[in-house]
Amino acid sequence: MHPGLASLGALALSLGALGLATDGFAALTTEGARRLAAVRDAPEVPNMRIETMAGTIESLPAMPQATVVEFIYTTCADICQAAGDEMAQLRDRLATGPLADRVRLVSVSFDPARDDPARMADYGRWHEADGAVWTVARPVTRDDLDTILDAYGVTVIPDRIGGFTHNTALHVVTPSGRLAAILDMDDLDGAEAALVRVLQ
Amino acid sequence: MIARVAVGAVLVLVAIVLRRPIEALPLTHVLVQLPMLALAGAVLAPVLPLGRGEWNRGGWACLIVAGTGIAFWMLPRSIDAALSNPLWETGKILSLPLIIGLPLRLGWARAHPLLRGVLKAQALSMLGVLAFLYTHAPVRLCNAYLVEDQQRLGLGFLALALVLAVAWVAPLISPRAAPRASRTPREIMA
Repeated sequence: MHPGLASLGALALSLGALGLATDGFAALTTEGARRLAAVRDAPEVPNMRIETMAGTIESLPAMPQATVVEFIYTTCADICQAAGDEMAQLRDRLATGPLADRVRLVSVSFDPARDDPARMADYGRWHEADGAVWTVARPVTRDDLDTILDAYGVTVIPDRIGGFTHNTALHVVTPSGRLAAILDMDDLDGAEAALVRVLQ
Repeated sequence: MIARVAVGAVLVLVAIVLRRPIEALPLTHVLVQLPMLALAGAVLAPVLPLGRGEWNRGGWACLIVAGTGIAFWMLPRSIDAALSNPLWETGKILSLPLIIGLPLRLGWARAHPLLRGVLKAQALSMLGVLAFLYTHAPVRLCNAYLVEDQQRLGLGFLALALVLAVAWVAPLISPRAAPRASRTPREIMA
């Protein structure tokens, strides 16, 4: 075979393989890939039972409402506290306007061993989550936790100082239980736009 | 022949057996384990009846395949996938020797010295860009690793770039390498 032809063949295979590996050169990281998948495919998330800070059981996602889910652990010093503030702001923004009462906000703890309802209630109090629109909750079992983290695409790793690091984000779930958008924690405009879109 | 197969097998075995501690840090995952696996394929290249045909003249086809493999395993999402999915991990252990190490050597052996120089320069600049990216990125590029470990990998890229730069430039400034002052190309032609 002529070397030029062999090279062209290799080049075509190369572009095809790299295109497949990056969703058409659109996502180089796992985080980018899961955000792209949410927008492109809106995968269904499993309907799970979670225990809230009030000790009650409710469903995640909160069908037939739209749900904004974020993942936290209450003993976290920095990012989860900032996430709580952002969630409070989002709650306030949704309170008036066409989206009022149509959205449930849930902060899910991925440290259910430490985060019992009392601790979650403390976190709720710090950030003025009263349970009406926004609640703090934890998976009921260890398996549920793994199922939820896997479905939403969240990876939790120990941070070597007794806490955790994870890919923090706002997850917007449609009223029919599909994960339709994943946004930066502080992208409240984006979250609101996504909610308008899924509630149309 | 047997010695080379043994060396390749030992490299792959060590990479597999020690994968937990090696993969715990991105620095050792990317700069120790991946090169070990690629080396396992490279040591086999000279004794395999491959890459001698006309199709591999100039080494281009093999180098393109190897470059693709390198680009693929440079994607942070590939590294994440290898850590979370055993199928990807198996694919990594197989593809590093077969898609990178082996073709890299088969192509390199037949590459024009000019092409080798270009690829060396390209490798150095790429490592420099990676070093900057991994030490300065405000976000984590792998979900499986901490940001401080990501920065250490960036410093590792920088160190590797410096070592390779010295290794590749040193022969060029040795007394025997350069044409003598009295024999410049213009004089030779004249």
